[in-house]
Amino acid sequence: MKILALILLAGFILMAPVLAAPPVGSTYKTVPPKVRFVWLHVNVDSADMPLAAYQFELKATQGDVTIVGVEGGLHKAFKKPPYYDPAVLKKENRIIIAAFNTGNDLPAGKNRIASVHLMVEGEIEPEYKIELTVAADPNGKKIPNAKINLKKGNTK
Amino acid sequence: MTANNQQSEPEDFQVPQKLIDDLNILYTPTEQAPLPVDRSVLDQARRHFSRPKRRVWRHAVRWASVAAAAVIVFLFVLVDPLGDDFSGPSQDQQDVSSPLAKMDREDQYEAKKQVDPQEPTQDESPLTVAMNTDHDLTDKLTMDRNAPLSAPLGFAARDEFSSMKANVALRKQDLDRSGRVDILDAFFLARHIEKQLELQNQWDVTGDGTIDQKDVDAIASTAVRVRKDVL
Repeated sequence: MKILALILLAGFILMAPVLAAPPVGSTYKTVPPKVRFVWLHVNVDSADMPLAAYQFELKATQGDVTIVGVEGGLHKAFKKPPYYDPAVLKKENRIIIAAFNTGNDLPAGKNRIASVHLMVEGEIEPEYKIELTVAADPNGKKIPNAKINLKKGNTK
Repeated sequence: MTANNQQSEPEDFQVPQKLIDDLNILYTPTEQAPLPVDRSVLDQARRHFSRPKRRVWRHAVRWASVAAAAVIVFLFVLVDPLGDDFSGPSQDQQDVSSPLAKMDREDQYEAKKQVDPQEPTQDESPLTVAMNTDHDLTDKLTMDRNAPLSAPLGFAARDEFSSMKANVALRKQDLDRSGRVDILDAFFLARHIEKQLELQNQWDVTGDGTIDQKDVDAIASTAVRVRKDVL
């Protein structure tokens, strides 16, 4: 009886992939998901205060979005790629980005501080939530009135 | 003698009829074998001739069993029951209650039950803790008593140890004592290094004996880590 059970189990396990495979000669049409790439420019408005450090969190709240790349901003103080967790790339729809500059040439007012590149799958238009965790002046003091916003665009 | 050997057999050689009759009488069975005996002999013969097949069949069963065992082991390895996905708690609220804490919780719950038997079983007990896995380093540790107790104790102890380790490391990186590790901690250290201000030994977060850009990068990396519970 045990041998019979073993035989049945082994047969089932060994034959399962064979049975699950499509029949020889059959053809299946696979429809690839619609994929497009978009970018998000992140702007911080520090009013009249020089921006020396920032940290924000970006999350896709709708749509099938994967983060594929991060680059720095336009001002030379934040031109270098910011700090981010590389583990999120191609895996997560959430990212924390931060950077600082200890120099004297710092941007004030509204500036693009970073850009995020994303891959969007499917038809659902993604929605994003961005939160400025911290923005600080050269002395490390938080800039209370700093604002953050996003500008969306499609990669051609 | 030689001449006799060279003699050829006569071409019209025939067995005498008398000899044929005698041989028939001698070897013809006088009576039929009983049916059960006949069957028994046939069965034995069949069994004898089917032995090689049975041996092959036994080999097939043996190999199939080995293959099945290998597949099962492979599937277990593939599923990775010890991996991160196995741990029930999410990354945002990881259970780090220790076996000791669990025992205490049970004991104290029992004690409380004895004191107040009317107490509903779904009460909230503050006896066990779950560490915050965000970068906030507050000491407010909360978890309800319905937290899973089914995890093996080894896992819980391992989780507790790694979480304690993570918490200590996080506290070390919170240089401005704001209660969380963020980019300002890295900025704080970078400014101190650049302006050659006084540095404290505890700011050597990498533990390499020097306080430099590596420590700044380490703090910044912690600040942007999405999985806060992993260091």
